[in-house]
Amino acid sequence: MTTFKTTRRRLVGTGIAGAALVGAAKSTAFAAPLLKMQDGVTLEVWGGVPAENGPQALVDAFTEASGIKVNYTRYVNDDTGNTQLDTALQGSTTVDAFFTYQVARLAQRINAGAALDISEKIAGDEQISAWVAETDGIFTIEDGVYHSLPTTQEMQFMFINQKIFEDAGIDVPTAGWTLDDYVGLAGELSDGMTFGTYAPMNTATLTIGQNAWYNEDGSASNFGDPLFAEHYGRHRQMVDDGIAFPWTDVIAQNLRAYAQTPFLTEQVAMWVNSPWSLRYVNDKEQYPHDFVTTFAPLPSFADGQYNNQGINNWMLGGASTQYPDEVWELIKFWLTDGAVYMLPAGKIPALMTLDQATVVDGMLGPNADELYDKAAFEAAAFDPDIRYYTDSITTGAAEISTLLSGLEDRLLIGELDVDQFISELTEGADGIIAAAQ
Amino acid sequence: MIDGQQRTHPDWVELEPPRKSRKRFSWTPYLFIAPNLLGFAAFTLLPLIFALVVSFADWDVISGMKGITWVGLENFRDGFSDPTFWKAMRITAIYVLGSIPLTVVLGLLLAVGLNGPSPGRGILRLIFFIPYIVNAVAISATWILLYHPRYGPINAILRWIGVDRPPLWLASSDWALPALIIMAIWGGVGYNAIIFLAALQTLPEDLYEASDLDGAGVIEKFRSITVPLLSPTTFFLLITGFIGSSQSWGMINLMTRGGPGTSTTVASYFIYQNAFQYYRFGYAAALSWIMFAIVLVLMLLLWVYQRRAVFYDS
Repeated sequence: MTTFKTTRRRLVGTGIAGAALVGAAKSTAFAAPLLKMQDGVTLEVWGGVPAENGPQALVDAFTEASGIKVNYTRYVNDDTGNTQLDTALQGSTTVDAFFTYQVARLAQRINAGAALDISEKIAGDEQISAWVAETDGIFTIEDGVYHSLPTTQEMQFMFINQKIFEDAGIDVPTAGWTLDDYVGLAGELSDGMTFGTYAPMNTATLTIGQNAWYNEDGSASNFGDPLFAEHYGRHRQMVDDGIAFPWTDVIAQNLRAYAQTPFLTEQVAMWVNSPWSLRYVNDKEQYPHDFVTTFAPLPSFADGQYNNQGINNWMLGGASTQYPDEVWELIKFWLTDGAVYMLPAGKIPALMTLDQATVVDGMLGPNADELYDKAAFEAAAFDPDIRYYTDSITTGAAEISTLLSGLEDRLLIGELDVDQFISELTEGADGIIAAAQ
Repeated sequence: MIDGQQRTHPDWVELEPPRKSRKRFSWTPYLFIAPNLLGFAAFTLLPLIFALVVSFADWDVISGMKGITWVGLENFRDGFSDPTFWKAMRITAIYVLGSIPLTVVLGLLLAVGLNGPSPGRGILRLIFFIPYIVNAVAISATWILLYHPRYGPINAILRWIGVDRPPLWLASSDWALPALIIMAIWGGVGYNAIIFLAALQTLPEDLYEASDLDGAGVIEKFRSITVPLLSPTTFFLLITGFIGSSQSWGMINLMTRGGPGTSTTVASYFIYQNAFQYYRFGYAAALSWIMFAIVLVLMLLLWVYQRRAVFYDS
């Protein structure tokens, strides 16, 4: 069993809260000259974001500020790309720093000794240590021992096609709308060709939060929780009613990971997604469209607040790096002054040293007035009701994920009913967890 | 032979007295094969040996060599008792048996059709061969569109001819595997036809002339002359087809990722999942060797059978 405990269960502050927390120390690591670093150092950094979307500009700025050269290598964040990175971490290629995007892989890499211990570096930096102390969900394998820091917030909110709402004479929802409102609107906006929504948000995981798939001690699955049956039953019903995007199309077009096409071709009116998908809306060349994208916070359910597994893009130093000081300087830069360069990639900084207006402008790009409702974006992306968490149990997570997506497909195309789905999912996940322990 | 003549005749070459046979060693031929040999050793032999070694271990790659834990035959025991693996093997068998025999038969018929003189024969051969050389990603993208349940042309035609509820193809556990089999047949027929065409050129004309004199019809000649004489080619295509098809992975990864559910999770894809998604490289290696053993035994049985069924000139 691979169980990891976070040190704090308090929830990570949102952008605004984060900014307030570090307000006194607002920016930055590079206001003062850098520590004297070794001459001629070149750091090898591996990340999943294409260099041209921000990382290259960031490392160029870092080189200019510090004199430390950086080679940024983009790896594709899929199974093959991650295996390439893992092989490189074994010494086939030098990796001084790298990014990880799934908690299960993060746990595996840290546990395997592939990551640099940065606990002392954090403790020695007033700004970073203050942020880490006040932020819950930062992943550790034991109290006070840190190997990674999150660089972005990736919360979920609703992308909305304003034109479809206007044509239907319906007001765009705002904060405070409910789950029933959402389902009702999806029905009103569906006409057989256009679907009210792509897919509903997973109210089970958003309500439960941390380790939603597992029981309290991680010894069995938690899919028997009625919240799962409720969510998947709702989704199935919405597909059957023709108000959520047909899952047969999702499978037939391989839309599971990237579903921007139905939204940007006006097949769906509402789409639950994260800031990184803004890059598709910004790309009018590849996705030509003539509607304004507006936003809403997720509709309220449960107690009004909801959990979001939204701190991500974990940055780590390579365990075998010869330049731990330089790597730490790069991590600090990525979290602080460098964050501005990642905004065009849709990356809201995890440590908010930038003011909110700068973040919004950087993310929505130069055509924001034409493409977006900026005020709605601010309200959705900086929703104070979001609570952040990071899973601490990852036992058999990859296998459970495969099992879940396979059964979800069968449920949503009508081959299983909800009871069969929950029963097979629970049995399968329990078996996976038992085998992994 | 007269000794004196041998020495004096101007056309005769003076022969060296017989010497003890002693070949002179030379590095030259080894240097010629060295690049290939090195490539084979680096990219085939060593990985094979490594996969065999790892199959007796628990290994997640990320932990490096120090993370290898020896588990003896445990991976093999787990593999033999893993119902998901055997389900994947069953799906593999359906995929192979559903696609390869039909591909070979259609390839043969196509080759016979394209063998005679006909206008545009060269163009037709090229058209049928194209699927074999086109990029797999392009093929997958095209078939994804063709199979689209709502907008795909295949279902449009089926609706047009009166099928009320046409198959959901890739979005159905019942139809996804047949859809992949249809694709595999489409992709392989052209290659089979080209190989058969080459073989057809070598068939002796005199047999056909003799059968003409005996009054044999087209079907009789095909059954009694063409099919038996092409049997070595047929056997070759069957055996290479079975082996290649049992290793299918790329198209499945691009088209269905083993789904819906596990309906298209063939053994190769299941092995891939264990290695690259679950980081169970030792178990995946053991499954690979189990699969290799099964395929090897089946091919040996086919080999034994071909001694009776395949007709060789000699």
